[in-house]
Amino acid sequence: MTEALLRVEALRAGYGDAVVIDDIGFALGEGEALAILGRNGMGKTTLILTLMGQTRRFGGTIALRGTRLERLPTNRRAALGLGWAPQERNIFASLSLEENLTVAARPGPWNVARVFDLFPSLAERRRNFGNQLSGGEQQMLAIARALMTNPALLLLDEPLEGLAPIIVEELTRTIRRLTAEGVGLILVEQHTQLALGLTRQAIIIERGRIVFQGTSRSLEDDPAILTRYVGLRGERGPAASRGIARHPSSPRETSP
Amino acid sequence: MPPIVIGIVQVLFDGVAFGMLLFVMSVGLSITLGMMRFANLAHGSFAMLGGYTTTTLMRHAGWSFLATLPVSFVLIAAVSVVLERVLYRRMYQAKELDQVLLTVGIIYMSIAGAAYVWGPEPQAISLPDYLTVYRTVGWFSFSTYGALLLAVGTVLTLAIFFGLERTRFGAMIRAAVDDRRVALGVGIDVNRVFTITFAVGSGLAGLGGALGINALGLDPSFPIEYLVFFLIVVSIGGTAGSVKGALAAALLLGLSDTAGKYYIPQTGAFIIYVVMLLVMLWRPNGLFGRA
Repeated sequence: MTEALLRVEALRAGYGDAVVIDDIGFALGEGEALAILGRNGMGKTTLILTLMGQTRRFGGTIALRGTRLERLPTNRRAALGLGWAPQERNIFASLSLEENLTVAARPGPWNVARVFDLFPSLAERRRNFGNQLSGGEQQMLAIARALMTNPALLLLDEPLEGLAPIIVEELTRTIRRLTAEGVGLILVEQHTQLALGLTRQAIIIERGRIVFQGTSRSLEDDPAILTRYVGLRGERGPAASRGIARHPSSPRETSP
Repeated sequence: MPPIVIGIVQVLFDGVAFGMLLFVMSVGLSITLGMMRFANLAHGSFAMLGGYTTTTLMRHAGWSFLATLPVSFVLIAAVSVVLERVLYRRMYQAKELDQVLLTVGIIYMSIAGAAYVWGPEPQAISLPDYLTVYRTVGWFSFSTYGALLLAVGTVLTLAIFFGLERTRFGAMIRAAVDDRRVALGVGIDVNRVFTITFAVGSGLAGLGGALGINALGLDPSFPIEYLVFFLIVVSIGGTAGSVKGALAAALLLGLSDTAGKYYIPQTGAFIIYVVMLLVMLWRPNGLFGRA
């Protein structure tokens, strides 16, 4: 058996005495992309936070390329290859945009020049501070900051939430480019169709447990499950965005 | 030159020198409080210990005043690291009251320890001749010791700002103060950053305590006597580790304390509390605090 990029088994975690996620298990191969879907408050972000070591773990294991992570502090997990872009973005407000990148830098193919190449609009604002950036720029910076750690696996927690359609399109293209370059991806997203278009596998979490596990393609073709566990929100998304999700192999035609 | 102008220049000179000294001594407390939310009230004990290091080296080893200053910095930094590893680290997750009780306990232990080792009387050091004379430039005359305080305070203040604002390590400190959780999440070893920051901050307190012996005085009650100054700097500066705020607050405190003692000696010592009250009424989160 080849070693998985990430293997999670029987994970049970929460806050204080409350168990929020339970019996979570999945595996992800090198360079693979996984969508985590589900309604709000079902435990998606708690799962991401548990992978990063920011919740209380009651049981289960997390292994990144065979290295057990579940007992390591958050910064060790980041150093070993988890690149986290938190849901609230959490840009360091007292740091310039460029400093937000350099504080996270670890040796590897990703550096400031390369992330500016990926997000050209950030390069123009490198001297600006966190609170002078738009929501879209903050999200790009959160992803760029995660890339600076040269991760094996990116954890993106609702990266498209609350952004204008044109920014959603731009970010979707960027995320696709990243996965094409071989960075592993776990994507928590409310834009269901977009998330399925960006990933090969998907899980749905309902009240802290996995209720669906399969390929993104099969889920796209199963509106009954989507309606039941996720709602129809993805269908209500902007038409242009749906276009991207439906044609994952040809990102160019989605240019506005 | 009219006496009133000379008086104002004198107050500015002494006040800014005192303010810089206060800033150097309290900046570490401001940053570590912002980063770890750890209320180390015993910060003044480090400053006192720096003072005693200097007096001991001068009296018993015959060192010159200036040569003792780096030793005070290094020794107090080292002592603080030991204390951090042995005691403080266990208390980061504890409630504020527990932290306050621990560090107040350390204050009293340091007071008793200092009285036992060095005696209860105020320490006097004989500064070298070149630091006891007055120089006159035009119509303004100043003590060379005051000039030394001002010069060292300015150099250290510039170095602190350069270190915090222009280096990657400084950016890591600011990131950890801004959002400790996410700093960890992007791989910053916040504990290590904190230990180094704590050591440098404590070392600066020790250096300030040594440098300021002839301005601040030195006896076992030092940690309590100056605690209020450190706390005022931290609170009116804005507690979120704001270094600009701490500098502004320290200068305001230095100037108002000096001006109060110069112009209204009867009540001068109370001026700082009036200033603190006014600032807190005007900006409850501190001069540079975030709402």
